[in-house]
Amino acid sequence: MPRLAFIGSTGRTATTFIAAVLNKLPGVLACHEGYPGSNKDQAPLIPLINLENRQAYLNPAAADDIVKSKRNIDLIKRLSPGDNFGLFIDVAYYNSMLAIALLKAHAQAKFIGIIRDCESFVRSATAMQGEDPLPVGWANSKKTLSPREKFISMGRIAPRPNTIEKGRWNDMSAIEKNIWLWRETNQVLIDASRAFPDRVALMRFELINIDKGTVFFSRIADHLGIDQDDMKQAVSARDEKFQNKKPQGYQVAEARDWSALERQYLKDSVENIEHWLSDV
Amino acid sequence: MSDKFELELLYRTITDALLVACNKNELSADIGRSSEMGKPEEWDSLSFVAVYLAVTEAFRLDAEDDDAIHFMSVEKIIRFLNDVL
Repeated sequence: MPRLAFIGSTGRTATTFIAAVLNKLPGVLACHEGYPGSNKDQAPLIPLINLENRQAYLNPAAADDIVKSKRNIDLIKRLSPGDNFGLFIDVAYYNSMLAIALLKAHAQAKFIGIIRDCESFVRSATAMQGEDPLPVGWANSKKTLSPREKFISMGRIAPRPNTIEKGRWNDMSAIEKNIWLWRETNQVLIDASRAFPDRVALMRFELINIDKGTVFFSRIADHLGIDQDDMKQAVSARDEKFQNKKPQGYQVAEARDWSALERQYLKDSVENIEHWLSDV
Repeated sequence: MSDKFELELLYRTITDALLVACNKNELSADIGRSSEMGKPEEWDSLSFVAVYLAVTEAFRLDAEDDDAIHFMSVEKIIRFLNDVL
């Protein structure tokens, strides 16, 4: 039985690239949202999760059921039976909402939460016009969604009933909604870290920009018990085809140009999350 | 317990929505109680929204996106309709 590890985030944290690098490690099978080595040309090895993401957020008991049916031990055991690997890693935004359920169900599993700076996440995730190839965040409400964007939006987390944000959701701008998405996702990651401090590591996404990612991947190796030399080789053999798919740039201005309400919401949300991240 | 609606109407609604969404004259398999996303293959993430909208309209449901989770299989849709109708 291989060791298990899961990596989660808000999305827009280079998860495709991370899975591709990890899949180059000897003895490791790493998937991005179920696709081995981020290769979307073949069928996913484990069932896709989309609509269940929102369900897991709205109802933690549902998260346990989702893990039982779609991330159970029998499914993992059946993965590539001909291959010899000692560590299976799945990298996916939806692992954040399933983190505690995954850690409860798989007693030896490790988890890494990747936390990106709020402003850059919101700018990267907010689409104001045109079809978003990576619809991680809430789009401008006036934008017409393609069937794919609409389907993904139905699985994106939205406020729970009887919360302040639920009451004002339809009046919130796309920027505010994505600040909320950032805050809630990272709060879930922090909750998992507090519940399982020895098995969950939280990492800053921005580390990936230092020294061609060597510091970032070294921390992953530390937490998952991967040989550091193997990791250095995997990072140096990185496949340059995994480029940012939003080369046209952000559709949202810097925070200094946001409305006063948006800037205040950003400030409050960042303070709320950073309070728990002082040692990360 | 019998269903609170006509099953044939549900099957026909899903079939028609998938045919339009996929621009086909027939599906690779008939819609029945065991149908779900991926079975038939035309019921994928892109046609899902068409099924969701067609069923909510046909049965005059006041559904929200939070309810989309109940539209991944015919069995789940039947359970949901029996709950809300």
